[in-house]
Amino acid sequence: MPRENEEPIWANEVSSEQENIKSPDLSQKEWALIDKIDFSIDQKEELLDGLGRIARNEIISDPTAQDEVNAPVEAGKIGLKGYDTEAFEKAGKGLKTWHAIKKFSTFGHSGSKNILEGMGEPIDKRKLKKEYSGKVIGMRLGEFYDMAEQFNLNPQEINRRDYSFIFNEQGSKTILRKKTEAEADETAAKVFEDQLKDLETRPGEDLVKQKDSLEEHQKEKEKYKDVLDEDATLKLEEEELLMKELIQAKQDDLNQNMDVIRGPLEWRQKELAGTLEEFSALEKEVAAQAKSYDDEIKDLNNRITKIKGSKIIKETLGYKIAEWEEQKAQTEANKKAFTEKKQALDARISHFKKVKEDIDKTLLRINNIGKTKTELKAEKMEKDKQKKEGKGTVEKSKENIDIFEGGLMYDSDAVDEAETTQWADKSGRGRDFYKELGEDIDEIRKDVAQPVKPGEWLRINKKPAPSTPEAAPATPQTEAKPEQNEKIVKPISEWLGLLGINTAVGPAKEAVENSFKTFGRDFDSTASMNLGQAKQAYARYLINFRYGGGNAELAKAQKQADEKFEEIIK
Amino acid sequence: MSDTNNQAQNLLAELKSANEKAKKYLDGVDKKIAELDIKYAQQLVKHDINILKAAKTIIQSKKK
Repeated sequence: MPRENEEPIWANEVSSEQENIKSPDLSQKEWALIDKIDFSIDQKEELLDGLGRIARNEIISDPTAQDEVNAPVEAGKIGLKGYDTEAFEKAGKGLKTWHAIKKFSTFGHSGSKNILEGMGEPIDKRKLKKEYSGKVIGMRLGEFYDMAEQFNLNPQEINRRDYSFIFNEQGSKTILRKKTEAEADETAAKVFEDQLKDLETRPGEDLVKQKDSLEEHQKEKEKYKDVLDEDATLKLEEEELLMKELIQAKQDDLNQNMDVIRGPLEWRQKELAGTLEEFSALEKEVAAQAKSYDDEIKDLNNRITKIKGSKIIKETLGYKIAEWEEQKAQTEANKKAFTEKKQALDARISHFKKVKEDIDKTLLRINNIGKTKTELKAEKMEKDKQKKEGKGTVEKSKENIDIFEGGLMYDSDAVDEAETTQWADKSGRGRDFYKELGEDIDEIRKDVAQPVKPGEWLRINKKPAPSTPEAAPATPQTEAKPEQNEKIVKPISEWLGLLGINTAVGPAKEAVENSFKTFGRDFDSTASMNLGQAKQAYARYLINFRYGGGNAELAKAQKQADEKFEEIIK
Repeated sequence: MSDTNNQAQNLLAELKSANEKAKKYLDGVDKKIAELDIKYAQQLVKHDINILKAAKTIIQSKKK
């Protein structure tokens, strides 16, 4: 989000660089142009990577929203001038007569306020020609200068192309000004915020309701399972499968919308993490060098004191005294330069951190869309547990926790070589850097975590156990325990192998690929599924391939899938 | 007195060496900062180019 009163981060160097490169060969006009460019660069750099800019450049695709972002702003109103007469109807006889009388009676000082006299016949200011109504018109040179004068602007400092106007019905013009980069980013940030809120409140809340209904349904089914006959149970199961299908369809839609937002943000988040790492490493190095230099100078000063003070030095150095003074001045200059470099790096680092913080928060919001209170609570508990146990800190844990987020599974704690390399970039410091950052490593990692590679899963997340053994639902013969459904996680390719359909060809292959999808994604055999999901996917596969895609055999397919998985788990 | 003189000369030489080393390092830091600035700017530009390429691909795929 654009911030007010934010210090321009490159301003300090721009001035010193300018000092260095300014040369008498350039004219005043050329220097004015360079200053103008510098101003523009400063303005752009300040917000180039903010959330508003990302939204503006990479997320907002709806033409209406884009128009809103790029719409000019009202700069004020100005009166009509002689060159505006073509936009209005000519004055009628009555008005002209009244104008003449008024002029006569005021000895030519003023006529009718509704008349404008230009180059041709007088016009009626109240009668704007239809074709000019609401039309945005570019400025002519003369009126640009008039406008600049009226608004107290220097025409040399503004661009005529950035200004336009529309005629008003009441004989005036509204001046429009192109938004500055910062203003456009700010609007984009607002539009983006609205989009996010819309996702949270419409599809997000709808999905939560569906999930709550399913939970309720499952509870009811469990409650009455002993009194229901086989037909009724099958019907309920069929209903449950349909509910799950509906939830998945809604989740798919939501994921599609969220991916449009999530993609660019995650991309930028990673880039920022890498950039932060490089700048932080350099800042540390500069700080260490500055300290080492300070120590060296202190040591020299101590030794000078030991040989009876600097006065003696000056006396003994004789003709070299000028060199001594020069080196002392150089020492001060070096110390100052070290401070400046550290400040320059600090400014960049805090800027990148602020931008990244906005992105992190937004991604967290996105990841929470469509999740029920139970899901969010479970996630929070998991996070708290991690913190308590010292996991989730940057200390590498041997156990990995999986998070079911936005329909995709992530291993939040495992850092593979590729990721380390990617984050470390060329500096090779990778994880150490995040150790130093400490406080936000978990969020960074969770938000940008990579899909887990096959065989890397080891879920330790435990669902609350039933309160008493008596109250615990009896596990149906073909039904895996709920915690088992989530606990057992394997890559899709492995599930397919176990099910014996990994070498399917033709329509069977097509059915496999259509059924074994992680939410909102294309078929990817390296993606992971938990037992519950794999079971659902297999049921879908059976319906698609064995039962011709009809829902009539849903219950049968589900039962068959349960039995198959019962075999596999053994 | 000659010892003091030698010591003073040595200290001056050391100071000069420390200053030269620091100045050289500081010049290098300027370069590194500029390099990182450019690298970051390139990332942003590269991303914009990628977006344009993606848009082009979408348009091309719609044409088929």
